[in-house]
Amino acid sequence: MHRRPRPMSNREQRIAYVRKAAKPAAFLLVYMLICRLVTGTICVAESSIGLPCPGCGLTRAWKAALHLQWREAFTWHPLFWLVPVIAAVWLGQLVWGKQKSPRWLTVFLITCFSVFLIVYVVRMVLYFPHTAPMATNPDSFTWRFVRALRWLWGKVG
Amino acid sequence: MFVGQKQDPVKLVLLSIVTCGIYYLYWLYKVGEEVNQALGKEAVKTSLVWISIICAPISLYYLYTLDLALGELAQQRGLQWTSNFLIWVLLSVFAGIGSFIAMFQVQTFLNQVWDQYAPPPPPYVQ
Repeated sequence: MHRRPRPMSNREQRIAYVRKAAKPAAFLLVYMLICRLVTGTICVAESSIGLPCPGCGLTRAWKAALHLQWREAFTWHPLFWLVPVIAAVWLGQLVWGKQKSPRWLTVFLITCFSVFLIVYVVRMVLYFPHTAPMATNPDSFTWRFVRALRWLWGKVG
Repeated sequence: MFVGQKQDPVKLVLLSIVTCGIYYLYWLYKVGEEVNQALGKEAVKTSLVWISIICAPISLYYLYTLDLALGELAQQRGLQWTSNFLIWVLLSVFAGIGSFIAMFQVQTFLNQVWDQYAPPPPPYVQ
């Protein structure tokens, strides 16, 4: 006789979620390492399409902040301090939250998203494409791919 | 049975291009909510969409979970869903178009799913 599976407890659901995330997380870590070796950056957006993303400069900002160079940190990314806040809120909700996706979390995350987007537009207007971290990356995969196509086209033509 | 909103995939891709990818993220969120409702559980963590602005791999992870959830939905409803996650990633990395291909394929599949259980049109009255 076919038996209905027992519904998972909250703890079991969390463990299942972490298990589900482990495989792609490992894959992404390896991929980021390859990006670093080939294109000189771990940023997936910058290494793939060669354009800066709204998160570009966060690692360098945190490096500067850990050396207590606050001015430099804010120059690399003015919102670097917001990342641990977002991570803490999101993870806190994941571990201790009673409701799965409460409305306040969505509102909070959309607000953070909008702030990051606005800051990104301002930084693009001010610094793109000449000043790091908002500079282009000619070593990115897409740019290399386009260069290879051009080279092939030149050979054929 | 839950029936989501049918949408034209071409229109969605064009809207995403026009809005520099912002509409794509909104669509990911909406689709995640619909798939969760259809499956009756939280198969996709929709809040991840908004965090992905900081770190692009999060949106890839989101696509991965969406891909798994769509496989489950297809199995539940007797349809076929072929996983294209790796192709989406490769097209994103080398040509920057993987997300648009993903959007097109996912919405086309979902339109098929929603069509299956769409209520019949009202009778024609002269």
